[in-house]
Amino acid sequence: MFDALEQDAVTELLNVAVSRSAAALSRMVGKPVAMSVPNVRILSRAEALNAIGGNRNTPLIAVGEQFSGPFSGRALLVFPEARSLHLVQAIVGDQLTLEEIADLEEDAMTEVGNVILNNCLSGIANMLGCRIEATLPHCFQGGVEQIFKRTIRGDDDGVILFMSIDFSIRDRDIGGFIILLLDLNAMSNLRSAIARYVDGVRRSLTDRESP
Amino acid sequence: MSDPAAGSAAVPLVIPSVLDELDMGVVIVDDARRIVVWNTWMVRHSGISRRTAIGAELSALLPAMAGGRVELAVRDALDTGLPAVISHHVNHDLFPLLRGDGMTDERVAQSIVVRPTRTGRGVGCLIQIYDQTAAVERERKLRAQRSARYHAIVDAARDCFVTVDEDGAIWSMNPATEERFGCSAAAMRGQPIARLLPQLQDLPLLGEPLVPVRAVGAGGKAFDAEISMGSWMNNGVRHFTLFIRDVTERNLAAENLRRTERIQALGELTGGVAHEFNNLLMVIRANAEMVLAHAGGEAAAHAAEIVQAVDRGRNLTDGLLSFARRQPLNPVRVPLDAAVEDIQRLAAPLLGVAVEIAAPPILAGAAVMADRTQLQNALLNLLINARDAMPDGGRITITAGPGPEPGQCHIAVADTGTGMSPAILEKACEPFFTTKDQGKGTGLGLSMVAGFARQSGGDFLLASRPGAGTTATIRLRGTSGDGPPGAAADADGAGKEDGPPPVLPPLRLLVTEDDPQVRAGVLAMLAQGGHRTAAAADGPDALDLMADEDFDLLVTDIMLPRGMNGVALACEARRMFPRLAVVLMSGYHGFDPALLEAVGPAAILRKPFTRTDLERAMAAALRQRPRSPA
Repeated sequence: MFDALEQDAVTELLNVAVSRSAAALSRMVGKPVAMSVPNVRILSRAEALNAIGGNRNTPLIAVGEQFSGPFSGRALLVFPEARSLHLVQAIVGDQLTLEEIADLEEDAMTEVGNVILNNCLSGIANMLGCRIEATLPHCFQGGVEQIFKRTIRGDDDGVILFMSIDFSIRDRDIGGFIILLLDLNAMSNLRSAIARYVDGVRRSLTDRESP
Repeated sequence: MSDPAAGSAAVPLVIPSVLDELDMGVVIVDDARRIVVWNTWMVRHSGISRRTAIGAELSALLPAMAGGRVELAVRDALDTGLPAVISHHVNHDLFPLLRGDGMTDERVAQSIVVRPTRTGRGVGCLIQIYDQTAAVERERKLRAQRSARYHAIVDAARDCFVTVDEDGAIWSMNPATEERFGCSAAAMRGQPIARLLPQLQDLPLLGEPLVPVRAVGAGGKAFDAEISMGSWMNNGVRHFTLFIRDVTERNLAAENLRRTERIQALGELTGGVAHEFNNLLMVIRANAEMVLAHAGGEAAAHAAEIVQAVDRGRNLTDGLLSFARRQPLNPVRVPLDAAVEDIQRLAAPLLGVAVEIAAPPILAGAAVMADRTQLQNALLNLLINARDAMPDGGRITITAGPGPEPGQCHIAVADTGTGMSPAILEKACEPFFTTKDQGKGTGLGLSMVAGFARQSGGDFLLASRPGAGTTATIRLRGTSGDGPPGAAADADGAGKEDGPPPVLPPLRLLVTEDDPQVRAGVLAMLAQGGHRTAAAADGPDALDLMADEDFDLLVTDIMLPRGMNGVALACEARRMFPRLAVVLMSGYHGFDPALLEAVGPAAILRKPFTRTDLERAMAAALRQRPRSPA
């Protein structure tokens, strides 16, 4: 789907986006947030299901947004519930009890998901030089199949960009996944944008070599 | 409408009057990030007039929000068109709004939606601010109600409660846990449970019904713990609540019980052996005395040797019985003043010069019912303990007198020594417990004193505090009057023991003894008194004989076969012959003194005994037998 250079370009693009997310989270938490460099893969729906993997019944929490415009599709952030409780705890602080954290988990995760997904989408929008309209984020809870059924349907003909991300907040590691389901139109727009970007890179490389 | 700014041509797409009636904040900024709408709700809660707000930049108007979530969300909405939700749960730098309800100056808990919109000039950003204060308050109340009962239990519990998730990360712990393990709940939050209980490294153990572990608590002190677990689901995630109970004391108590049972079994065995052995000694002694009485010269000398050896054997069995706390007691009236005086005289050489001993005057006539020798032993034990508690010397005070309960007397030995900690005090009366160096004490001393007191129908108390000395008190049944109300063989006093044997009139005697050799020995001792004797091997046989003829005196072993012991036989016989005199022979007995009392007046004779002992006991029994009812 992508050649090696394009793959690198997409990875870099999303890396920039994700580090913006980390910076935004860090501002929110008031503590440094480290985020690992994600490896971007293009997967089928079934592959993505398996990649989230674990036990199919492992409870997950997901935040999804739908975006449209010249570039449309769905964005999904997925965490195992056990991790998300730690994430929420890291964000809201240690003084709350487990029950209190569970009570506001959905609110907090919706916002966290919103921040992370918006940064990814705006990174892509910047690259494509367009605006993206998006819905307000929704929170989903359940097993991986349940969540996919409500967010990424089997008859979708889009392409899935799949990333594992690892945060570290206050010495706690919180691993999750970002899933971008791009429709075919968005995918071809992305590819031409990447091509332009790669051309630019190549040109700058030759420019540097020529003199 | 009356406000010219609100109706400004810059916002033709909104209807200001409606915005001003909303119970929520509405702010709209244009693409230059200048405020174009600031509705009445915002005026009311921010205290910033519309005149000031309109045209200003958000971050200039509210510097505290500069660089915060709202400003960034506005930037995103303007630049890329992405909306944002912002919650008060997560953010602390939202609009500085006060409730302004005239009652409180609480801050408004807000949730905010920022989304792109259109203004007359093009792209704009709509900020909607919802007041969540009431919801937050409601949630807080509900949560407080929900958790109040839980915390009332968990925070007051002496057991440890720890909550972990399925990854084994600690979420919470109660104060008992902090105290037990010497850690703080805040510091342990999120840490693996193995930090607290290394054995739980193995997560599959989570959810096991009962896990016994050896745990290390505060100060590195190890203890036996038993962990039971409950699991529950929270937002689809399994959590475990661990109940950690310190079972060190329980295990220790079980161990003590096992030890006590072992000692008890050993006591039974020793008592049984001593009983059998006393019977043997009885036979040997009776026959040796017979030889001694009839033979002369060398044979008599040999017989005397045998008698001496039997006496040594008896000392041995006495020792065994006192270990087993089964020594036959011979309760007599012991005046307290005499007992205390005697013990002071006896103990003086043992106490040494550094120990001063004092005894305030004792109420004359106060007396207890107790075995004189055993009482002396007990007091001696207490005095030696007192001495050992005062390595640098000190003072022992012996007080005695009636009370504290009516019908009771006490003898207390108080020292000015090192005292005992509560933990040692608790165990001081257990057999084989000793604080003395090996070889210096058996650990039986206080347990024997306590055993003696209980066997005598009294009790034994120890009071002590570290540094404040120890007071040991024996409480026994008191007695008034000069003579023994119940049993007593040697009411005449120890002084007469060595006197000439009493002269007995010819009597009709019934001897009941299951051991044929002992029976023969006793009969032989009685043969020379001109008595008429009959013999039975057990209670029912004896009663049969009594049905046929009259008897003056019953000499019976206490331990008898066929389900009727000597005490029961004596009771039954007394019903037939109320004036029957009774001598009870005993190798040892574990009877309650109260049970012996049921017999009424009776002489107790410890095996092995001599013919003189037997005759003295018979004389005593005859003296104390009930008077004729007429």
